[in-house]
Amino acid sequence: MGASVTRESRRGGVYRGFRVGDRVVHKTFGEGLIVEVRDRDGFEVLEIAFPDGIRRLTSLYPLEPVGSAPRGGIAPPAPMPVGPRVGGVELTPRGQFRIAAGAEEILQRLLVGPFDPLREHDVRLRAERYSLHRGFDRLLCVEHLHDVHKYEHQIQACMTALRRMRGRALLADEVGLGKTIEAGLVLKEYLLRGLVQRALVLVPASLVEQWDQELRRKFDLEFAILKHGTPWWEEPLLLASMDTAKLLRHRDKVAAAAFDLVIVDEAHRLKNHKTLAWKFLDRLAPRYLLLLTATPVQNDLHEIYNLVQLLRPGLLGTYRTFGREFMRRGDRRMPQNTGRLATLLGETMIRTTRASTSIRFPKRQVTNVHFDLTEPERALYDDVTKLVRRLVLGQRESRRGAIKLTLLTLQKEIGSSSFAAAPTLAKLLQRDGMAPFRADVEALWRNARGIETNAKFEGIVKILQGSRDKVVIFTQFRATLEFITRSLRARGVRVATFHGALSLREKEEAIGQFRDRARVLVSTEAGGEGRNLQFCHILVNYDLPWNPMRIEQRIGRLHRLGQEHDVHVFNFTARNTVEAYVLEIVHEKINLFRTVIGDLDMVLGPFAEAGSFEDAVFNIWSHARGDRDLEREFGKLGAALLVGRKRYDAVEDLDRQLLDGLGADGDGA
Amino acid sequence: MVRNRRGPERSVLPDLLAAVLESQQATVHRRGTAWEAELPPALAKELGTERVRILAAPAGRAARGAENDAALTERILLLGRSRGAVARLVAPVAAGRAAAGADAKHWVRLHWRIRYGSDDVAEELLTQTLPVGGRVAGSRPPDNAFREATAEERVRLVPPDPEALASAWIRGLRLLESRIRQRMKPHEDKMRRELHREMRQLSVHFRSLIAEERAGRRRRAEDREAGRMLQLKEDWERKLAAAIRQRALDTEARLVAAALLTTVPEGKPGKSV
Repeated sequence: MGASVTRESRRGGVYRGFRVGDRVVHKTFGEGLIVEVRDRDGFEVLEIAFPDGIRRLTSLYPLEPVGSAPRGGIAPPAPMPVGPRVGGVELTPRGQFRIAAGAEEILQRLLVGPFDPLREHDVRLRAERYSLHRGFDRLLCVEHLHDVHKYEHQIQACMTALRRMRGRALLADEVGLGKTIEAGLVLKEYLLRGLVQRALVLVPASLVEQWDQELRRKFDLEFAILKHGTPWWEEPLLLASMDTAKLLRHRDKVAAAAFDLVIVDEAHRLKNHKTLAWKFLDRLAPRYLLLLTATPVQNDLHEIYNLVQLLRPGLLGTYRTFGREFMRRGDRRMPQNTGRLATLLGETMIRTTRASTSIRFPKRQVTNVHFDLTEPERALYDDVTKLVRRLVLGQRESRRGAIKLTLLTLQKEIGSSSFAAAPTLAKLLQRDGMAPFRADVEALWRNARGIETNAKFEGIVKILQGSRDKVVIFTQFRATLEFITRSLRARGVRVATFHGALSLREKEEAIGQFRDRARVLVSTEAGGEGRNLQFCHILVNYDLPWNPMRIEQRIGRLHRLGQEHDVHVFNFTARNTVEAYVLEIVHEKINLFRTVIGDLDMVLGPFAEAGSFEDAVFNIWSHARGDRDLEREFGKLGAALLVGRKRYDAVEDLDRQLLDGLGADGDGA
Repeated sequence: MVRNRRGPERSVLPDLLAAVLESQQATVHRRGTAWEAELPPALAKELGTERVRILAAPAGRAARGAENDAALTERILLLGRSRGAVARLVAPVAAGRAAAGADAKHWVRLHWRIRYGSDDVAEELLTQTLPVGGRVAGSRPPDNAFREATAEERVRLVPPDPEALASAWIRGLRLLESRIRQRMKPHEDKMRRELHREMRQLSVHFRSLIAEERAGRRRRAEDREAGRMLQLKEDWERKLAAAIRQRALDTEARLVAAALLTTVPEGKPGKSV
């Protein structure tokens, strides 16, 4: 047995080669079975089951092996079917495994040939590797992901959806746990295995761009976006907003395209079986269906019934029997027979809670920094605002739309910096119908060009002086980006820049430069899309987008799974500007900066549609006749959002209580 | 053959199937996201079809099976796994270094497919590269320096010493054993914990029986306790040993492929150093 083999360990101890299963005799304790062998400080530490109990001894104790055929221990490994013999040496394995037949032939061929072509050899190894991945025991897609930190709960959710739920699942993880990644994993796995050829992803309009970026960057999947006038129905991978897909002119074609897999994000919008969206999805009847929502129940338990009905019709009985069996009379939110309901939901719902994972979720530390503009900047800001108001109010309603976008942009730009506003003022000069305002615009343009500093810049300098960590500075405009970059470089700070005009390669290089060498990344909105910057934890909003979704996307680049530090967000705003009002609303009313909101659309309510919140802000600003007007109107806007926020919080609480109370978490088991 | 841009490790099913067919002398054309393969008569006979069409989704790496025929896909994959077991590779090294050195340097690369005796441990392909011969001076050239030996080189190259190859094999087996041990350890620990728990429960049960004995009969309780405890331990020991043995013997390592790597002097193909 192994005791006959003695060799020196690396640290000078002695190994006698004992193995689990060997029987030994100790002069005091008698005969025993080795149940554990460990290496500790260069010595073999054995755990031996003696008749009077288990003892831990080093192999230096006087231990003698019991014969070559141990009683009750592990038998020596079965001899190889054909004992390989090379050069007179019998090649018998010592270990606790057997070697399949065929090894001898390969060894003989190594000596005398014949040899196979390298190409066949390579192909064989690839085929062997591929054939290891059978069933869904192991995910093929994992090694095909880019820039994705894979968490155990995500892999488990994916496996459960694939194996136990056979591709029809309600992914109801709490906010921030990566439902998108889970759905992407399932999609990629099906595609790789050839089980899905056509896939459709239905998302709210506001998330189309984000999904497109994520699928492209993380999963290497090029989805076509449903657009009127393009032959989108021929695309095997289609991304669409639910509202567009269910339009009369599209819905028949979508149904006829026979998608194998459909993913629906924010699936709580399908809570009502009488809506067009629910009926549309019911009609699609894909082979695999993933519904993603953190809040499957909002007001009524029947909502989860309707979702499950799409996935596994009949699982929860009929609409009426479900109500009778699982809902308390008089309270549509409270379940009864919770044990049975949990069992049934567990067959199709996967819910991971934050508490059930060991992931540390970083906090968001928010600092709002208010600045006073310098005198020339203040004068310019006020004059531009006056011009915008005059132009908006001076136009007839029918003609207002044409110039409104330019003015909205100008107002945003002047909130960012004078450098950003100057080009737009120049463009205004060339615009038709501007003759009455030409002199004013020209004067503003000259003033803008005359300003060489920006009051907010000193804020950056202070942040950089106060910390040694890396900083990401977001701005909406290239001109501001260039000013910040120029000014920082003049102070000897290493800066990387990232904006939409860079090629894909340059963008990757910019991120790499920031990760490896630069202290600061100055980025436009393009940097807010799909790129992970979680190696940095300080973010400066040099100017504030008027769209809360964009603000959340910016923060989301740093504040995400994998971030190890609390994220510090600095919001720069100048006093008495639109941005100051927007900040007050999104910070004070909906508390956007401190907490992660799963479905921002639910909070924004009627302002959820793209651009409508910005429009509302601009309308208030451009139509205001004084500070009182502004206070009142922004107050109303904030109150509307506050209602949305409270509604969202209530729904989230309900789902937490309800679903966690049902115990339908994790694997659903 | 169109290779995946990102390297073979990223290759997936359509690419692999096409590579298998191509390595068996099929004529393979790629048209967009489809591969068309015309099979030579022998291969056509083996696979039961003269042409194979392999499709991939436009995403590029998203795969479909050959003609969506799972059985044909399996047969092609099996074909890929049935040939190419032994390769002979050479790496040219600078003539000066070769002259300074003594004999040809050999390494053997063994590819083991390991099926573990526990469902909890996934099957794996383990690659070992081992020097052949007591001590190989200097480091092994990088993998990309090795190429296929030409027919002429194969004739001229000196085969490795059988004894040295046997030693390399033994070393490979030891490393393999250590790998298997390492992979199985957590699962053996888990099993051990479960058995410990079981034993504790049995002990509790045993103690209550002893107490009954003491209360009911006036016998020498210590003897009975000692005897029962011993029996209990032995039962537990037997159970543990049986479980470990079962797992050990269920683990199977299959040598699926091997390659002999040899250095040759640069500029003088075929003459070993």
